Amino acid sequence: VLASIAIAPLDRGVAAGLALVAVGALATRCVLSLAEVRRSLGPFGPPLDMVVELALGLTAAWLTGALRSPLLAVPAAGLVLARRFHGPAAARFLAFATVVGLFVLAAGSPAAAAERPVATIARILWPLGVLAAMELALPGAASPRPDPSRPRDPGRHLSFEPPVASASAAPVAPGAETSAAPATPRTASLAPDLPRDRDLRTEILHDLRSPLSVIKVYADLIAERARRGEPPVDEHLRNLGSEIELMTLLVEGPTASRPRRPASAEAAVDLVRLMGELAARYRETHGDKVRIEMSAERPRVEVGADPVALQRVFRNVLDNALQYTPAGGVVRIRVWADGAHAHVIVSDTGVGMTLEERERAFEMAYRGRGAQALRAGGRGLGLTLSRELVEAMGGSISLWSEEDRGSEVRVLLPVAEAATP
Amino acid sequence: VNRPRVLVVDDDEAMRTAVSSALEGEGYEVDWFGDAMEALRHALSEPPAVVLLDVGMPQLDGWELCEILRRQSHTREVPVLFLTGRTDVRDRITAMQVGGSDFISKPFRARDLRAKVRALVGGQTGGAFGRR
Repeated sequence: VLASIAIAPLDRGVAAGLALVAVGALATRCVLSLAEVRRSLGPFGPPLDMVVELALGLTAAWLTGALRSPLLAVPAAGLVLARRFHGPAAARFLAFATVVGLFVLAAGSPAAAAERPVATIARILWPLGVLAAMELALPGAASPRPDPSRPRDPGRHLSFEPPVASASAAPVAPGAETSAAPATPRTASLAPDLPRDRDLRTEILHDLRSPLSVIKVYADLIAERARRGEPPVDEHLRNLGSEIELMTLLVEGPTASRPRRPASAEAAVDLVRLMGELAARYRETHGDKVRIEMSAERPRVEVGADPVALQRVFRNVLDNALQYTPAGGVVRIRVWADGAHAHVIVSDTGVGMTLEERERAFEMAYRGRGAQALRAGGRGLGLTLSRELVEAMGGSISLWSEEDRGSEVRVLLPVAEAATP
Repeated sequence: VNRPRVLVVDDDEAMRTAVSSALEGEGYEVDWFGDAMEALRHALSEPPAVVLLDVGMPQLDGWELCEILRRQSHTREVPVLFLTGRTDVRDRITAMQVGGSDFISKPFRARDLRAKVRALVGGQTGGAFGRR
């Protein structure tokens, strides 16, 4: 903007407006790139970023009258292209779009450009100079580098990407480089040509490697302690368990964990007994920290469900309740039945959830701020799996929670046929 | 006693926790980050003894972060160990090109990870790639 103003003075009001827009853009960029701001904005960060950029861009275009110029399509095309790339390539396209955009803003309408040909040519030349300088400064960032191992983030091109180059990279044996060149991530313009099933396979294998690594590490740690005659660390066991659940889910798919519904009433499960046993077991391990209360409306509440699946569901629910309830808190279990349905409510006086966390609690691998703040292990799969299992048994699961007040999980299951009045 | 500081950068929280558990028992002080930009700021303000880097991360990937570390005078000599689920020889070459010191493929064992970290902290030849 400043260079354009210097080359051929714009109307004073327009120049002042543009300068304000430029300052606004810089300030917004600085604020939005602060880690604290990004964290507090969470998923709203990238869209907000984009809205602010668009608003500033449109204001600038309106000020200069460029909104009416067909040349505005050039920076718009630059932005569209930038969405398709990651890393330095995205930074380059974004810079290109910005530079061309500035030129468009400065040149105004084609009619105005025809009136002042010399000024217009000067304005075209300086952005090209900037682009050429950028090309010389970034020799190694020439090709886009899509990364098949991660999902594409549509807001990614709008975040600051330090331009990096590989010019100083260590030399490689010529043979190795030649044979590796065709699909190396550094020359990944070829990557999109790979067959899709190979991409998918690579991605699945990649997804399996991380949990498998975690399982191996914890198995090693537990074995090492056992050899020294020390008991395993609870956290290691818990994290190992959740990685195995994740692996099962990845390998077999969510429906593979589908429980069987017992055919006869004899195979029905008594929820009062099951929850009583679980409460007793959890009191042994957590009783010194949290009070665990259990109450039932009647001596037996039988449901037609898979006992193993039920154990998994209520263990997940109780693990969550105990993990997020600070010392001195209470976890209450209530069991009752009305007509065709049995109800189990597990409530706690823990840290609770925000509205967003509550809405996303059943999402696969979602971990709320509580889990992150406590540096709690786990993959955020407990509630996802629980819902899968409960729904497969013909029931439903719901959640109520309030920040700093606690959470309540309600599980509703069909009562066993013989027990239905 | 000053324990060697290890910086673990991985967007997978379970992986960070597991790697930290494996190293903390060995006398290292472990700092971990899921955000590569935050990790970069931390590494520049307090250069660690070794950096363990995941490759596929949002915002800034492991290759890029390593290149930036190599360009800064504070962190030029800090060994970087890549932790990655990719096993392709091309990825090893990329790791070398961006200035990585060594490479460990997921899934790995706790003892293999410790051996590599120990070698890098001890200033021995950086595993597969040698000392830069």
